[in-house]
Amino acid sequence: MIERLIDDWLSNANERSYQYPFAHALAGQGYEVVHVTRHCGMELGKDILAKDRHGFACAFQLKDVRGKKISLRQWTADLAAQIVSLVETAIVHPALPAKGRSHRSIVVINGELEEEVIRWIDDFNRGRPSRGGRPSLEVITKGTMITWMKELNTNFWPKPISEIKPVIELWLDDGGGQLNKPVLAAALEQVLELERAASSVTTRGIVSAIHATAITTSFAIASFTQKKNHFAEFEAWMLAYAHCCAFVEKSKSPYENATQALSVIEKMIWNSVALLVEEARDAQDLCLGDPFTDSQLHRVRATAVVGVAALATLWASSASSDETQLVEQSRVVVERYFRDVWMWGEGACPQLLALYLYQRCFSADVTSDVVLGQLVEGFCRVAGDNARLRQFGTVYQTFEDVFFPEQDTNEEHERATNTNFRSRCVKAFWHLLVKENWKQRAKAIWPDLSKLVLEEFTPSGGWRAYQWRAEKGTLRTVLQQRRQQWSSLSLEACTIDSTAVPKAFIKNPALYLAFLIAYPHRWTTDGVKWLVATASAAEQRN
Amino acid sequence: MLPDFSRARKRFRDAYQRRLLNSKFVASDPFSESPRFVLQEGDRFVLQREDGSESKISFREISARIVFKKNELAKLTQAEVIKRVDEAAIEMARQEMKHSVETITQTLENTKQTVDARGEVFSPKHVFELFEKVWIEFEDGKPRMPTMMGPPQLQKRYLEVLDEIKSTPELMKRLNEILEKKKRDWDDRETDRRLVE
Repeated sequence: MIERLIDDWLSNANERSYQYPFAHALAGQGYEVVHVTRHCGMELGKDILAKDRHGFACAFQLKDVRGKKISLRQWTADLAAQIVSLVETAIVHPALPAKGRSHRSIVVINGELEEEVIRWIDDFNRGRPSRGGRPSLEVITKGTMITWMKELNTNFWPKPISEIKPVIELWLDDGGGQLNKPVLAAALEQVLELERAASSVTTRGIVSAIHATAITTSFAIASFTQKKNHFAEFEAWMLAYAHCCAFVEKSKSPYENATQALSVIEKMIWNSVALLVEEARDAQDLCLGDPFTDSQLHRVRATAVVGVAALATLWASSASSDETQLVEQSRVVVERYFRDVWMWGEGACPQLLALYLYQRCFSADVTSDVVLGQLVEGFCRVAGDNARLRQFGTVYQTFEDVFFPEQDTNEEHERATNTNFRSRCVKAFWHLLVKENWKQRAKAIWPDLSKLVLEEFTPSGGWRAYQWRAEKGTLRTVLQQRRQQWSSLSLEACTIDSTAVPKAFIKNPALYLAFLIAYPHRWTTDGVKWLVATASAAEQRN
Repeated sequence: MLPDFSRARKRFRDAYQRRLLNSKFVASDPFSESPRFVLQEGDRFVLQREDGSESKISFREISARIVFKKNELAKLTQAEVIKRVDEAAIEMARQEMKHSVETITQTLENTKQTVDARGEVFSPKHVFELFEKVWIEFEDGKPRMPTMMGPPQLQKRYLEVLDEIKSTPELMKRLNEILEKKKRDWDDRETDRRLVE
């Protein structure tokens, strides 16, 4: 049944839908994937660039034939001209060998070839020199792709029907709304068997697991990809990346064994970010054309989009490729919508943090610090107002959870009857404010802030930090001292315990911020302080 | 399978769930006023107090069974189902309150925050001693008087003692002096919320 599902999905996928799982299948065959197109305005005619096992550059062009056999007429009409370009035009990428500039050219179709097309290709190749011991033009069809994916999935595709249920549930989703992250997380946990994973897995096993996870994710979010729901894609790929990291760390395997495989998923994360930024920049506004809801949801949408755009600037400044265009697009989006940003709950704090980092980088005045003070005061106002409190989400709640809750759940009942405000995020913002030496402002805020109950969650075991919900871990609730000394507070604010940052993100602060946006409940004071300090150091170096 | 009506079943179950939660909430009074939250993940809980001391809190299961016999299902009335749900809610509230009272009693005994009547009849002096030991919050200048919990005979006696205090000027004066001191303590605490050099 599983093979039929993959077959069916692949037959109905367009190029965007199947390019990522194909990239993983390639990686599973020993290719090193260096570029996956965003299918944006700048189409270069080469969808995927990679190096084969011998270091030879390879260019792949993907076509969508919806599972059918491509006829000669269709081949010559749709592909022939592009094929010449694919074969003859040199590919230029910093990660690919420049010497000789020769490369393998491969057309990928999610279908099969008619006899006449096979003949056409044969004639084409006869007139041209071979490349890397291969014909000038190679073709990969659906059958080969399915074989490669099945090879990867042998050990990792969930087998009992009960285990594939979350995958199917997502696959059947409309794809236009918010990603159901708990369901995807459940699917990923099952694919990777996280709770049962062996403590030692071979390098090949690690790599296979990562590629299989990526293919499963691609399949599960196919409808979101179809709808070009880039925010959902971003969150989905971040979840996939995080769960793969959990698998690597639980297996006590060094990250070096998994870097290449993880880098393909990371490309997908940043591609989704870039596509969302491009879409927001090109849109006239953030409305979807629904008069009944656009004005109500505009600020929520702005918060999500501005957060991602600000994140994009942080990533682009450290990216190995030239992302100047992305920085420019992101700045347009942030400057256009940052006034509409809204802290609807603690779940929005990572987006606000991204905006703060952006303003530190691009604002010549003290705007960012003013915003910090306003954020902290905002928390104090919420805590002191029961009516507001009931409409302010925790780090575990999405916007829809807060304003359109499922009725009659324990959470909903607690929310409706509780007057207890506990904050996981305010301490980080407070420490950032203190660190910037806003002493008088801090003194004015402190009496109200001291009344807040703080909390922090620490998962047990490093790998659980990547889980959607950690079965084991400690929740610490802190009742603050009423009187504090400025000097002690300053020292505490400047002290950072970097062990709070999950290992996978120590060399990749932008990805850590992306992780927090997708997993707001993994917010920790020391993690946020580390992120700001690291971003500041990078900003000074630039 | 037999015909099912899953939407209707969900509605009914949701309504009974709501009933259970509400009944438990009411039956837990006054503990239902205590701060509560849902633990979304993890298996350990630590409370760090203002003075820096910590307590590791262990979890205790609170549960109740609702039993239905197979042969009564077809004839069960809604009133009977509600009755059993309410009974379960009350049982859960009872367990929760018992645990809360045991925990509070243990903590208070450890910190010697208790009043020993030494076998005497409960009288105004015991009330004054209680109020002197307990912390009272103030809101808009007015005290948020603590809720008293106790066995029925003590509750009756407590109300009689309160009446006696209210009708005796000297006793009322003493009570007011205690409340004024409590207000000063509260003011001191609130003005101590400072960031100092």
